[in-house]
Amino acid sequence: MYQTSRTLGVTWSDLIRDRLFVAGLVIKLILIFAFIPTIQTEWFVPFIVDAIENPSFSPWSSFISSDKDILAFPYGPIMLLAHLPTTFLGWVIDSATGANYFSGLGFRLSLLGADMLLLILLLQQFESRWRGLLIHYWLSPLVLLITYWHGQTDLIPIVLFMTSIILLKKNKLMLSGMILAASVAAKHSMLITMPFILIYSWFKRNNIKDVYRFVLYFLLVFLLFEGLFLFDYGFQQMVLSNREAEKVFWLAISMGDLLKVYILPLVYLLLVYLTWRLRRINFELLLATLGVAFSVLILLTPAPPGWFLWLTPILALHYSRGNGNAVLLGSLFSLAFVMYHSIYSTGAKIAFFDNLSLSMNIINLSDMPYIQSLLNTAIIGLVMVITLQVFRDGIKGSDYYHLGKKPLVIGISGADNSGKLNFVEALTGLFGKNKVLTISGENYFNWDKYSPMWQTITTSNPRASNIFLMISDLRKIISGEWIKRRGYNRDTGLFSTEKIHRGHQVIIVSGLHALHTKQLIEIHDVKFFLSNKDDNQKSVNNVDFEKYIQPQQKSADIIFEAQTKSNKNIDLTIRIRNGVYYQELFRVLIGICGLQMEVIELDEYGNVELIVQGDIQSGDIRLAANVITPNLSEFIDQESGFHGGTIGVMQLVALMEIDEVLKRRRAAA
Amino acid sequence: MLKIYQDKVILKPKAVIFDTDNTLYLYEVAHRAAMKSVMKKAENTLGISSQDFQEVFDLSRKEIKLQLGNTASSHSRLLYFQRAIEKLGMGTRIFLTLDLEQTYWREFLVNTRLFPGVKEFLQQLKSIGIKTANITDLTAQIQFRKIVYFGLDEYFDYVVTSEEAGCDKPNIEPFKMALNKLKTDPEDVWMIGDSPENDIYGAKSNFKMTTLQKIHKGVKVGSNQFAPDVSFDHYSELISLISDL
Repeated sequence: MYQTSRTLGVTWSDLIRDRLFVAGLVIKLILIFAFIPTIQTEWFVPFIVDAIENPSFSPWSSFISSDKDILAFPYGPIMLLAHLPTTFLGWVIDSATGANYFSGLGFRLSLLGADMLLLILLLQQFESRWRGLLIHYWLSPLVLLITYWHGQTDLIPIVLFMTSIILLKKNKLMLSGMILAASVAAKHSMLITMPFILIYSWFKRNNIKDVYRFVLYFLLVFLLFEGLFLFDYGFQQMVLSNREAEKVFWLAISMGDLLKVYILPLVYLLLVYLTWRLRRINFELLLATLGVAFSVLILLTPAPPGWFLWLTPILALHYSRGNGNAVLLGSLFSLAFVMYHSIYSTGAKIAFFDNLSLSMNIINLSDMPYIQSLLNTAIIGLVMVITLQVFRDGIKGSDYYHLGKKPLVIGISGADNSGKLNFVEALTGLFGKNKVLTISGENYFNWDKYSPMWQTITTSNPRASNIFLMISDLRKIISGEWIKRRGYNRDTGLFSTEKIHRGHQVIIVSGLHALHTKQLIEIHDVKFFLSNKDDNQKSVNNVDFEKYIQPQQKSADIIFEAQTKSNKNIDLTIRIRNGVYYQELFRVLIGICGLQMEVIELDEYGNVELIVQGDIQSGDIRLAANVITPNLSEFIDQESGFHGGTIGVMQLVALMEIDEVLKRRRAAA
Repeated sequence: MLKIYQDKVILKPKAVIFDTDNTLYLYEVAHRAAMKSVMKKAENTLGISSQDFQEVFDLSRKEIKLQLGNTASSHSRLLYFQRAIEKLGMGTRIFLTLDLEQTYWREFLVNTRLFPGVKEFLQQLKSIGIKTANITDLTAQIQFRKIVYFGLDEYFDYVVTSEEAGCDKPNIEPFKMALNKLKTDPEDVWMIGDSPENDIYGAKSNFKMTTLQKIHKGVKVGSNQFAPDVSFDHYSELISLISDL
């Protein structure tokens, strides 16, 4: 079955019917109602209740002015706001009944809300791993222990962070920057994700202005949330001087009496650099990279249990791939983690049984410190191995990585008036202008339009163009160098001044001789030849056309022969060399898009000739592209990149061919 | 949970007939998402609020159903949209009607998911040589599109639409046509559907098929003449049932 991403509401309506979800929800509700985590009763809830009972501009200053624990709430205003509504409702019930239970219950319910929202976001993005995510995230012992037993609140910034990167994936820059600011304003440690998100944003859009815009929205909203608090004494003491920040400098190599090299910042910077060197990352690889970043933080500091929660969605995605080894290692990690924190961390009390604390010195192991160290070693070792797996699988599964090694080079040849320019524009729109470098064969004409030489030679003759220079330029660009080249103005027929051109993710080479010579053919990853059903006869009469242009069809992967006079009623013949995917194309175009299609010929080498007729809207092409080339969905402009009609069908076929090329690259890597 | 009623003896079938909407997938969720997109488009192109469009659409739908009775065309979104636009005083707007219909079905498909286990159950039936058919109340064009979208086109041996049969279930014709195509006695056939009135009653009253009702939120087990022989929540229960027979 084909699948494309659905809305959160539709995902939710399926989720509430799922038995695993209901089972997990019941377990979590029992934990919420029955157990009261110690850190919440001692720290978090008293702080929020104090903020409710003593409203002031700065709840932090108000709190410490009454000599209360400075460690009670080391979080920003968004964390406070996230917990405030439900805690307030609980506080109202407590006040009315004289109980001391419902404020805490309200606090815990907001965590359950964040937990569910995170699950829905993960399921929406990775619907094919539905069951795996329910098992490895929703029923994860780590989430149960850290959130519902130990009482940590990190799910709030994590769900905000996940929302932010999903919005970024959908190119909603402004909202993404704002939500990321909210995530950091909930917990400042989330700032460590910023460099990776900026790199992802840059690779995705290839537009520095978009990155600036993202940073601007982030800063504006962050300052809106925290600007005034930064000058507040209570906020400075409780949040900014938080003891967690000192852990960054915990591990160091001493270089003499005064000088040290801090290991965590060093490894972190190396990781940022390595991510930059990947050159292209898709959403899943971004998550894998962030998993490594979180792990580095955990491995190189005495991390509190809440930090492990950052890893849980990424680990759940990793386990849900169905790799038995990964699940085994994950189970061992969960076991070691649960054992360690059951013994050595604070736990919870049973509600309404004040004297019955389940804080966790179940067995007195204080005289056996080596057991604690051994368990810690097991946790660290397993996190290391799993993180390596996550990163390896993320890179392996990313088509972007294979695209990052070398740009995708598309060659488009064909007769005059065959629609090359329209096709180039359609492909450019599909990938986004910022990601595409177009090289037109006209730039390499030896003479401008007014040269008398055109009286003796036609444009179809390769001697009229400097093809050697074109090949040389292409080779330079592919290897990462820049070139300086003049352009050709179609309107005036004159050459423009030289401009610098640099490599992009996609290079489209179009022109009468784009598939002429072995060198050019070898350079192109995907090769198209276009001809026009209307003008065929005229072109055939041209001797140079027959000699130099028409033979290029033999080198093309795909030949489009279109009736371009009417863009609405499609009349397109497609010849695909080794068209392994033609059946899939056939099913989607007929079944989903409602077009008429016929297989004219299928030869013994798998070469296939198809005829497509009918009418189609751009929305149907987008749907078809998302169901048959889902790996490319991040690579293309979903909003305005797709066309309807003949050009739309050509876009779809081109995407299938490109998908095939990327798969071959991945297999060969 | 799978329940067998009135101590009915369940025998291994020679053929299984499936209903489509709400039996292979949940209709309502996809319909709501599709209507949302249509209303958004109507709001942009006609300048009419979503609520107003929904009201006119509902009214048009009722009228068309009343006018055409139990026929395939009575389910046609194209006709519903045409009538709705006409009711808004804009005459017949052919291109817009086509556009809204296309948008509806596109969004419908995007938001449609097979119930878990459907494919596995069909695979099991194929692997043990049990023939399969699909009877559905709508036009062939869109039901075929759905089956292709689900990737089930190679799983059903036969499909009967109400367009082909000339009327909807529970009329006798669609069932008769399916049995003729399957060339199987009705006693050897299972009918799986969600509707007690259309699927269960239709298959049981005239043909004595073994009837199985798919239960999910909003669907109640039929009673009296609408009572199924078996009710189930999940297709994995049918996989186990067939394996045990």
